[in-house]
Amino acid sequence: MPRRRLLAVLSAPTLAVLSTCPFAQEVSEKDYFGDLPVVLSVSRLAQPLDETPGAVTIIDRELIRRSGARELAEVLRLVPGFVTGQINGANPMANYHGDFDSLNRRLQVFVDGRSVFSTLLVGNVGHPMMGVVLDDIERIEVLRGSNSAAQGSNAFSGVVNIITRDAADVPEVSVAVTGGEKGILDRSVRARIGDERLAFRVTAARRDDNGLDNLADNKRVDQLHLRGDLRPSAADHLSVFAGSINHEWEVQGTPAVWRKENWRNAYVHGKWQHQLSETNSLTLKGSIDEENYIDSYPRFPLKADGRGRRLSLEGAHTTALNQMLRLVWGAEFRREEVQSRALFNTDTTQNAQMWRLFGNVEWRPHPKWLINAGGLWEDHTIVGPRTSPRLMVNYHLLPDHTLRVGSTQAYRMPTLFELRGDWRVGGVPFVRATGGLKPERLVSDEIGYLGHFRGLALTVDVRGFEEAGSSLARYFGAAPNDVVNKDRYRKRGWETQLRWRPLDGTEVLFNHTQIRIRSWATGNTQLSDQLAAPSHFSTLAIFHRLPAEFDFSVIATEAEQMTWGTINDLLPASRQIDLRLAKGFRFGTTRAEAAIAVQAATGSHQEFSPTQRFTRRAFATLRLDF
Amino acid sequence: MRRRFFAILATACLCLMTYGSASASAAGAVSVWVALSETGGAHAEAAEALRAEVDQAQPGRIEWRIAHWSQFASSVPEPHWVVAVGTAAQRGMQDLFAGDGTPPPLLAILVPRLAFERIADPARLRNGSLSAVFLDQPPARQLELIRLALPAVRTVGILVSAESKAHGAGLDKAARERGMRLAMTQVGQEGLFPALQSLLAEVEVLLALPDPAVFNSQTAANILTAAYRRQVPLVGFSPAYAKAGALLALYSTPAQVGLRGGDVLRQALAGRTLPPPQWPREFAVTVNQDVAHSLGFALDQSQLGEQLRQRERP
Repeated sequence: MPRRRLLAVLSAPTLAVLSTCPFAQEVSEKDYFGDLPVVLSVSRLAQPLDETPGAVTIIDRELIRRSGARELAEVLRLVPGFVTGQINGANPMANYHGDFDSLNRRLQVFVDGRSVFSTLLVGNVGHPMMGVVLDDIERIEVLRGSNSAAQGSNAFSGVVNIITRDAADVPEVSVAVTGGEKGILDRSVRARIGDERLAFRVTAARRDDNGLDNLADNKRVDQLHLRGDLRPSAADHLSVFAGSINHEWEVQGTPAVWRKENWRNAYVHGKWQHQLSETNSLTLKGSIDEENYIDSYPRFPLKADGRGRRLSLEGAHTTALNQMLRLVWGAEFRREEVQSRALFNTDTTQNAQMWRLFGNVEWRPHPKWLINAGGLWEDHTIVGPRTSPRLMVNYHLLPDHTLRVGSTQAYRMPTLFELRGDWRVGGVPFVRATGGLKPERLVSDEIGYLGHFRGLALTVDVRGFEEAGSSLARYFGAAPNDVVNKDRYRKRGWETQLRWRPLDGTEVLFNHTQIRIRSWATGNTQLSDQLAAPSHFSTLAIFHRLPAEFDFSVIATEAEQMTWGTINDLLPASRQIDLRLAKGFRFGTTRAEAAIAVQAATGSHQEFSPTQRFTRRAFATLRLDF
Repeated sequence: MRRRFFAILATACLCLMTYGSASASAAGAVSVWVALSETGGAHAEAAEALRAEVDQAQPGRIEWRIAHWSQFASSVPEPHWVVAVGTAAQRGMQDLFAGDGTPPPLLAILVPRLAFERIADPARLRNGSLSAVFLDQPPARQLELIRLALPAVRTVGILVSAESKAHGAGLDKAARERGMRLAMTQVGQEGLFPALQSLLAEVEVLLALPDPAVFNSQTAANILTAAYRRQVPLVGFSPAYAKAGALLALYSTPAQVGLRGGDVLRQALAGRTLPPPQWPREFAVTVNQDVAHSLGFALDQSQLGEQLRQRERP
C-alpha cells in the first residue's frame, strides 16, 4: 500500500500541529451537554417487519455470499413463494407464485429505488436482474404479494427491492474471481474513494459461462456501475448512480440458425433524501434508462433490433402527524418510449406516459393495532386511469407475535408491445396487437403471522393467500395473434419461512410453499395455467460457521412438476442440492475468502423444456478486500 | 483584557466580602466555596442540588459562596472546603491553592474521569485532599445495561482516540466478566471513518464514549447513520444521543451528580476527610422508542433503569 503510506507521511505534520493545541481535543463535561441534530427521525427510520403492510423477507449480504449464488434469481430461492428457473443457461427467471408465460413481467424489481425492467421487451425483469453485481448488494427486501397500492402496476405480484452498498461502506479495493466448469469465469473489481461524508465507488464486472449442456446458450454479462453518496448535513443524503449493462447470449435453433442476442442498458439515477423536521422528510428521485436490443442471425442477413427509453421522476413526503398517525404521499411521472421496426413494423417511436399519485396512512389506534390504509391512482395515456387500494391490519397479539390480515387490488398496465405490437419475422406476422387490451387485475387477500421466539432464536413467518386474477393478457387467435384480455385464475395456498439461528454464525432457513391454481381457461391452456407453479416446493438452507474461519453451506430445493407456459414443456418434479465450503484469511488489513461451490451436487434436473438439463457444476471463488 | 479587568474587580470585591464574613466563620459555621465552570445551565443545576442535599441534612451550618471560578481568589482565612463544578473550575481551584502548603480539601464534581485524572494534582490525590464525583458512568454499569437490553450481544465496540483509549481496560474487564468481548478501534492517522467502518464490521453494538476527537456534533450524525445502516445500535452517554438516534443513552443528570456530590461532602464534613473519587450513584436510562422499534427491539426504559438499579444494590 504505497499510496496509503504516502498519505500517512503527508498528514503526519498536520497532526503534529493539531496536537500542539492543548484544549481542542480534550474531553470535558461540555461533551455531555451539547445538542445534537436529530439524525434518525421517525420519518426516516425503516418500518419494522411486524408493521409492514405485507409479508417481507430480507436477504442480507452475508447470506447472498454464503449461498454461493452467481445469479440474483438463484438467491430468490431463499424467499418463500418464489419460483425460479431458466429459459436457458443465459436467461434465469424468477416470479412469485408462478406466472402464465415466460415473459417475467409481473414482478417489480427496484435497484436503489429505481424501477428496472425492459421497456422494449414487454416489461421483462430478467435482464435487469442480471445487471446487478451480487457483491455490491447490501440487502434484498422482498415483499411477498402485490404492492401496486404503493408502487404501481409493475408491483403486480410482488416486489424485489435491491439495496446496494452505500459508497462509504465498501472496502477501498475489492477483487473477486470465480472460475470453474461449464466455462464459468466471473471477475469483478471495485474501488472506493472518500468516506462517510462524500464517497464514490465504482464496480466493473464480467460474467461468462457456457450455460446448459448441449445447448448453444453461452452468455457474457458486462457491467459497470458507479455510485456516489454525499451527506452535506445531518438532514441531507444525496445519492447518484450511473452504469451500464451489456448482456450477450446465444440462442439455440437448429444448428444452422443459431442466433445471437444482445441487450444493453445504460442508466443515470439520482436520489435526494431531505429531512424537513424531526417528523417530516422528503425524497426526490429521478432516473433515465436507455436500452438497446439486437437479435441477429450471424449466418443469415436477418436482424431484429429496437430501442427503449424510460424517464421517471418521483417525489414523496413522509410525515408523522402525531404518535398515532404517519402519512406517506407522493407522485410519480413516467414516460416510456420504444422504437423497433421488428416489433412494431414501423420506425415511428411509440410512447406512453403515466402519472401516479399515491398515499398510505399508518394509523396506530392502540399499541397493539396498526392499520395501513392506502392506495395508488395511475393514469396511463393510452389505457386511462386505474386505482389500486389496500387495507392491512396488523395486530400485535403479544410483543413478538403479530397477526396480519388484509386485502388489496392491483392492476398491471399493458406494455407498449401489448398495445401496439406488430411483430413480423421475414415479413410473416406473428403478433398484431389491435390495441384494445385493458390492464390485468388481481385481488389478493392474505392472512399472515410473524413470530419471534427470542429464547430459541427462531423467527416464524406464515402467509396464507388467495390471489384472484382476471383479464389476463394473452396472445390469442388465428395467426397473427392479437393480445387480448382473456381468462381468469385463482391461486390459493400458504407459505412459511422458519429462520433459526441456533449459534452465532449458524443459520437454518426452511421455506415451504403450497399452492393450488385454478384456471378458467380451456383445454391445454387451462392445464398449463394450473401448473404455472409447483403445487409444493421447499427450500432448506443451512449456513454454518466452522472453526478456523471455515464456512459451510448447503441449500436443498425440491419442487413438484410445473410448466413455464406450455403443457408440452412439462417439467417433472425436481431436486437440487448446492454445497459450498469457504475459508477466510487475513493478511494484515487484507481480508480474503477462498470458496468452492458445487451446484446440483447430487444430480441433474430439467430446465424449462424436456431437452434442457442443468447438470452438476463446480466452481471456485477467490475474494480479496484490501 | 476586558475579562482580566473584570476578574481583578471581582477578586477585589471577594476580598472585601471575605473580611465581612470572617466573624460568621468564627462563630462555628463551615465555609464552602462552590466554584462553577459556567454560571448557568448544568453547572448551576449540579451546584444547587449539592447545596440542597447538604443544607437539608445540616440546615444553616454551611456558609456557601457560589460563583464562577474566576471570581475566587486566595484569601485569609481560607474556606474549609472547596467544591469545583466542572473541569475548568477544578483546574482553576487547583491553581489557586497551588502554592499553599495545606490547601482546603477540593471536591470536583461533574467532571469526566479522564479530564479529572489529567489535571488532578497527584500529590493532593495521594494525601486525600482532592476527590471527585465523575460525570461518566462506571464500566460495569454500561456493560450491564447492554446485557440487560440486548442479551444476544456478544461483541461490544468502542471507537477511541489517544485521549479516550484509557477507557479500554475497565470496559474490557467488565465485558469479560459478562461473557462479552470488547472490540476497541483507535482512530489513526487515516481518520475517523475508516476506523469506524472496520469496527462496525465486527461488532453488534457501539458504545459511544465522550471524546471530542471522535464523538462531536460534527461527527455524531455520520456515525449514527453509518451504524444504523449496518443495523448496529449505538449506546450514547447523554440524552442528546438518544434523541438524535442512539438506541439507548445511559447518563447521570447534573442534579444526580450534584446530589451525590452533596452526599460525599456531607460525609466528609462529618469525618473531616474526603472519600476517594467515585461514580455518580444515580443515573437515567433513555430509550429512543422509534429507533428500538425500527431495529426490532422491544425495550422499556423505566423497566431497564429499575433492573439496572436492582443489580447495583448490595
